[in-house]
Amino acid sequence: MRFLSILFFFLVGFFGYAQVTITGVISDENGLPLRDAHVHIANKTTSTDVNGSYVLSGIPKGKQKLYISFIGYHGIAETIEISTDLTINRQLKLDVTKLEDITIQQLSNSKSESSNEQVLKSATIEKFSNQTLGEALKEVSGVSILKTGSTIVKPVINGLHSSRVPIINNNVRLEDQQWGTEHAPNFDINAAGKITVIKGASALQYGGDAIGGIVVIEPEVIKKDTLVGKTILNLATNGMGGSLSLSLQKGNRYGWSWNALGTFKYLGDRETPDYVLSNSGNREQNFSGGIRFVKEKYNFNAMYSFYNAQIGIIKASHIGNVNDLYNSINNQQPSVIEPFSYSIDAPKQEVQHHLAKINFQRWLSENTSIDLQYAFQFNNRLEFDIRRTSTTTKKAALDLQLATHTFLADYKTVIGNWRLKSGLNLGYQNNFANPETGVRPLIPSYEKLDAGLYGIAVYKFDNATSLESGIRYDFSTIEATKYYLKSRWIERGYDAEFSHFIVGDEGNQWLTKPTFDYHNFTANIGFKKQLHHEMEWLVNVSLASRNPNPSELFSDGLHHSTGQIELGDLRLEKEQAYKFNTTFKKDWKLFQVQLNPFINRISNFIYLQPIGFETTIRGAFPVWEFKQTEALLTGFDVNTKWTISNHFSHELGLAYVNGQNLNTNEYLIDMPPFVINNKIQYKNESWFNLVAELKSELVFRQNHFPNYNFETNIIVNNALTPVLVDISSPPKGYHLLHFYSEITFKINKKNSLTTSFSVQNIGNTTYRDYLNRQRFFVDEMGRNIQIQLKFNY
Amino acid sequence: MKNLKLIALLVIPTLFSTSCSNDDSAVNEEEVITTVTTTLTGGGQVITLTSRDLDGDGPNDPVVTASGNLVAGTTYVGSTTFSNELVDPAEDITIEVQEEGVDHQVFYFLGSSIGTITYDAEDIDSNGNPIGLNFTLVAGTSGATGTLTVTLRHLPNKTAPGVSEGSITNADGNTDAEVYFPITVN
Repeated sequence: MRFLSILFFFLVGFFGYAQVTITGVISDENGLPLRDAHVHIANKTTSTDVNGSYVLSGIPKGKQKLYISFIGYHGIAETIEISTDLTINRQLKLDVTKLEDITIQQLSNSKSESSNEQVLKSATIEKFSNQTLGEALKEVSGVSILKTGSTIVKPVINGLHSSRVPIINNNVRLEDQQWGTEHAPNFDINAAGKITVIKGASALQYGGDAIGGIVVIEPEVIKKDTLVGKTILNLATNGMGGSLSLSLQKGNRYGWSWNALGTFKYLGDRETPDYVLSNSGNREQNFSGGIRFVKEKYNFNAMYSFYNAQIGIIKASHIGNVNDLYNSINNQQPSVIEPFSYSIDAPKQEVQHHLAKINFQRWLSENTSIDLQYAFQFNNRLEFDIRRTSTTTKKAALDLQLATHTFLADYKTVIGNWRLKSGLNLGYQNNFANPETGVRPLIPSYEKLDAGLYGIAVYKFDNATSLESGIRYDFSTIEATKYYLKSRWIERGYDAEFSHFIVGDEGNQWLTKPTFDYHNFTANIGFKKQLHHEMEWLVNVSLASRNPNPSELFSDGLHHSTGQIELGDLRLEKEQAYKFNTTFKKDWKLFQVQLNPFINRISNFIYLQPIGFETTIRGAFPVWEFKQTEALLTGFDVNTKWTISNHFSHELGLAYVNGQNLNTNEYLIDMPPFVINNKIQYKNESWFNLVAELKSELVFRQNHFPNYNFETNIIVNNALTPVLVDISSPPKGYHLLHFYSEITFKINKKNSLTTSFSVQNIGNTTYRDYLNRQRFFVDEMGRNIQIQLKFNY
Repeated sequence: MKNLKLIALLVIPTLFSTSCSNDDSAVNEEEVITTVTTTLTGGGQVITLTSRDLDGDGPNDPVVTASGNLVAGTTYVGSTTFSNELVDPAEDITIEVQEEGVDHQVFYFLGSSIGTITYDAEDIDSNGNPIGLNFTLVAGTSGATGTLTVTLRHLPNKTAPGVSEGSITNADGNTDAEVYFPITVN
């Protein structure tokens, strides 16, 4: 029947006697055109162009519904009688009651036309005000988290993380020594207004090396003359602490505007259902501020942010040699349990990240703009270890100082049906590994220069179909200054191939200056098709290329947090990934489904593999070497949303990934297990905007893993006994329940107070997670009850 | 004009960061133990057992030497020293272990046919628990061969069962040194 009616309309349209064209201009209260406003008449939709105008043709005659909407403005819904071609102009009024909606994002159009993008809005981000960026991102299906303890959290997109998932903060690529699995993004979650996850390398403007995906963080920008403040106070039972975040923002459509944000976090030891996780407290003192100046033809903005964190590493996870590791795995009970405390002792991390940037954007015409940006980042990472004496323990065992300068120039234009974007970037990076630590650093001092060029074109065939294609070239050169033990240099077999890197002889060490150049071409192509009103289909194929990072190239010693010797390889080649990614979206008004299967074929995939043992004066250690293989990652993410009634809704998120090492016919290590998330929400606007949610998180056991177990000798009952160190077997699956509820009190038109009450891990379930690097030592956190007060003014 | 000032302000950290020249000097490695020496004196003999690893975490195995064999039934007075021979003169780490005795303990493991080891009762930390640098070894039966394992543990649980008698099984903590000496009893 439906088909017949479509056919009927089609035929009618073909003959054209019963159909009309509607045109018009949508503007704001001041008569300024609104771009990308949504216009919907009968069964046709479109968006306005830069002049605010729209054209909808093929509208059947008769009584039709007209809807116009634009974020932050009151929508229009009316019924119109159509008998001939019409011009319908409308002015939209600002919606002042919804403060969150008038915050318009800097880049309101999508980052990638044809790739799967998922967005976290400020309402979701605020729930994680007391937690981390990684935990907020876990709300997106297909994103899992890689943890070290309970406070160091990294996002994993479709099974990949760290150097393979760049994080773009405020249009600046975060350079915070992201290669390390125990280096969390140096970013205050409270500074994010909107977070977009792109599950592929298609956003070429940010770089061509996003083999896993990209996380794009944008701040809130209020384009209205108003002063807005927000205070969020969080209190948590697990950790007996909380955080306070204060922000002030002076918005403006034209002229000067500014914002400032301060966040303080103070938490003590976390607890599992059975014991205290000694030394798991953390602190943060963050600040960010910016100014903007906007004129019709240009705008200028400058910002500075400072992230300062002190993070305790669970004492029981510090091990001396492989026997200590064996004991921890087999005891299933941490070796150090002390009473609850707020103090943070070694081992711990102290990280600071400064980011300063200036940005200038000029509109050359109504639809052409040029954007210039300079950003400076300085990252200092101090890691303290339990060392042999109490005096050296006070001194950092690792002190890396990373300075990054980047310059960007972007050009955007719209010509007819073409949307074009191109740009270049220049970067200089300097890492300094401070020798004062008295410990040989795994990451050497180095200097790096980058230059990149890209071009992206989007062609809109009609309102329903668009094609996107992009190409990028990157040049990178790195020169490191590294001391190699002569014995290591020989063991690695570097003497024949790399003797030209040697510049000095220092006793039992060579002073070397390894230098590498990389030329990378990356590209992507894809399309977006609106099949009919409720269904959308996206296809994207991308080629990404990632250079080996300093840890993969240069590591050459004992990694204390894992009790293993990690060896880099100067011979490593760049990694190349071909990712095919498709998304089906279907929208039945009350029920929405999104299906996103992908295939990621990675050539020269860099991973750590055990190759044997080395004996030192501290005993025997397993040796892991960075190797390259052919890898294949396949999987899918599913999302559904079902509006059951006016009050009830249900959401489902499902994610599966399978990683294979094609050379060895094994599975890849550390692949996220299959996850099913279910959430039931109850909403009642007439009762103080009550929202209550119950979420179930079901994580299966990862049965696909490589067997990297090894044997060692330990003393059992006064006899030296060979034992198997089981570092491979993933922990059991688990099921957790979480509760969230909030109510909002409107104090007056502008001020409101939202209080929320939430419980994580309601059942106080004891579990361990495969993607937690401390799963060998301790259980995960137990129940946590959290109260949040959010005051908008 | 205002903008210019701001730009100038932002450029300052840039100049600062590029002007501090990087120090390319080699790391002066602290707290390295290169050498563990156990000396056994008794029956007119002085037997020196040494394990020396001059490339630290490097790939070369420690070089282990034993200057002589034990004589069955003999009682030896034993002591263990730790040192860093990468610096000149060599640094004696034994003193440090003694000074921070509360946080350290040396453990010995020896097959019972080779001999038995008991801690020296006077070699104790401020809490009265053994440190284990000094001990007595009574050699076992003639013809026995095996390994003497010497382990230096940092932050052991000294009150756990058996730890004060020299059993490492419940000691926890982390290992600062662990060496193996071949032993033959004549």
